[in-house]
Amino acid sequence: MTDVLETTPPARRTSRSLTLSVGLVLVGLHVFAAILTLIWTPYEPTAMTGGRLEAPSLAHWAGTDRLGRDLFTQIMIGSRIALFVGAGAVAIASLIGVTLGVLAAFATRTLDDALAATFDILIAFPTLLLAMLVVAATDSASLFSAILALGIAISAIVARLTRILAKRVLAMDYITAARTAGSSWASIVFRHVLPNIWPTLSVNFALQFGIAIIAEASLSYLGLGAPPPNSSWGRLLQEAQGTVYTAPFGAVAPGLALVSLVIGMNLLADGLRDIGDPTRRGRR
Amino acid sequence: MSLLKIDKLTIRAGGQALVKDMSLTIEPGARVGLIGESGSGKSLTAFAAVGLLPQGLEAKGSILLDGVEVVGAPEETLRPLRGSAAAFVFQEPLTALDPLMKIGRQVAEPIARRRRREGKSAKRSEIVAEVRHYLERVALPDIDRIMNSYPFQISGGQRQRVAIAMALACRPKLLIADEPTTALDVTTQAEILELLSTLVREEGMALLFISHDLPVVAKVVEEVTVLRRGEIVEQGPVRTVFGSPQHEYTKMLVNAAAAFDRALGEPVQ
Repeated sequence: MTDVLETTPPARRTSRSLTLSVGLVLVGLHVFAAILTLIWTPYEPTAMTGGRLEAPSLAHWAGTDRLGRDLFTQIMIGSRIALFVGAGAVAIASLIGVTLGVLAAFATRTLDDALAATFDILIAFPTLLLAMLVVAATDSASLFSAILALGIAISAIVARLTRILAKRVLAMDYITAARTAGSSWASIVFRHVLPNIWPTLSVNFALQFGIAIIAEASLSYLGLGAPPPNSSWGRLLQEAQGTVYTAPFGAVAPGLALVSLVIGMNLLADGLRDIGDPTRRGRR
Repeated sequence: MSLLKIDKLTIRAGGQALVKDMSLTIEPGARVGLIGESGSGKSLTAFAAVGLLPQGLEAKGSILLDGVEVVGAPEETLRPLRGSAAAFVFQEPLTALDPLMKIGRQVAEPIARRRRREGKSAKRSEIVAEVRHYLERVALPDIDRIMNSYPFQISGGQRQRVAIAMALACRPKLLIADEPTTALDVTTQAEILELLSTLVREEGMALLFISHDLPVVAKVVEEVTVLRRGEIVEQGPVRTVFGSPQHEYTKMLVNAAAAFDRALGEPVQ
């Protein structure tokens, strides 16, 4: 048994730690850029510092936009907005989703059925459409309306997953054991259910983080996201659309930024799952 | 006052009776066996005793646990009874322990809960000292390592010892052991049985030992109740019931056990 365990892992171990490190590097770069923009950017984001639609150069790493503003600066600020929206949306979604999901798992049959049906209907509704509805319901598009909209839209997915995971944990012998020993429901939720669903849930949070970033870019692309002074990647893509043949890098650069952060988030999620689950860790 | 007094208990799932007219009394400090094939209602009876029947099952009759009526009682009445009046040890220790919680914390939980009930301080150092005490009590080696291990990192026998320590830590008046040795190998089985008997005697607990294994039951209890398809077929002191079984089913159980012993070339106990 030990022989088998000791001969197989090396390849998997390197691939796992590679997943985690690539994820860390990609997300780390974005986080670094995002924090840096708070104190320093290569240029003023609104200043016209070069010719129009310049190609990438040493002075302008990602070229300039059609007004001659530095694109790299705007992409860095885009990182900050993307991370902020992602974190905000996931925080809202996890708060609402985990609460409702656990509630449904513990609820009486009728309430559980009603909640499950609600989650399913909300999920059947496209995230973006739901977010657009929420944005439309608030007075004007702002960063916060976008975060709120995405948070609510994603919360249904989190709630459904939480409900299923929590139900599975609740059927376990150790829950019965805890109940026969006199554990209260609160103690069962916080000591047994949440820690046991956390490894799966956290991976999903990271995936939803990526989805939120893409959705925010889509909202901004449609003009429903953060309004102009915030240079969201979605808005950069939309602005570059008209000049994509003359200055392709204007569209490629924000696209690369978006893709690298989403992929980084997903890799990080995989790596974190391995760390978060001691049974996986122990088997390596 | 009897510790557990089950009177004419009937458990139904829809129209079907899973346990019929069952009566059983356990005095403080008594050791009682509940024996029967799987599906005979042994575990259901035990769960009913602490008011934890699976959803959809309905109990009728009366169960007095430590003087409190359990049948139909609300959760608030039942919760303080669980652990303090009766604690459980289950069949499969791997699934009965939380896989993501270290043993130390896991044993600390019932201790902290009991101390809160007793109004004692829940200081960390005192709880840790008690955790050690109970892990020593179940004769676990290398306690520091085990406290820092997850359930999957220790052996099956050690896990069952941890589960017993957790039950002991509740300081129950009645220990309900639901097939506690079935998932273990024969050597470990003997050790765990020995440990349970010793602990029950030393702590002055009553024991309800549930098993389908006749020789195992005979080793640890004084009285036995034989269940078949939810009905009691025979009840009395171990010697009488197994020595001169009256009911066909009990005879069959005794003969089967004897045949098994003969096949092994060992004298029948």
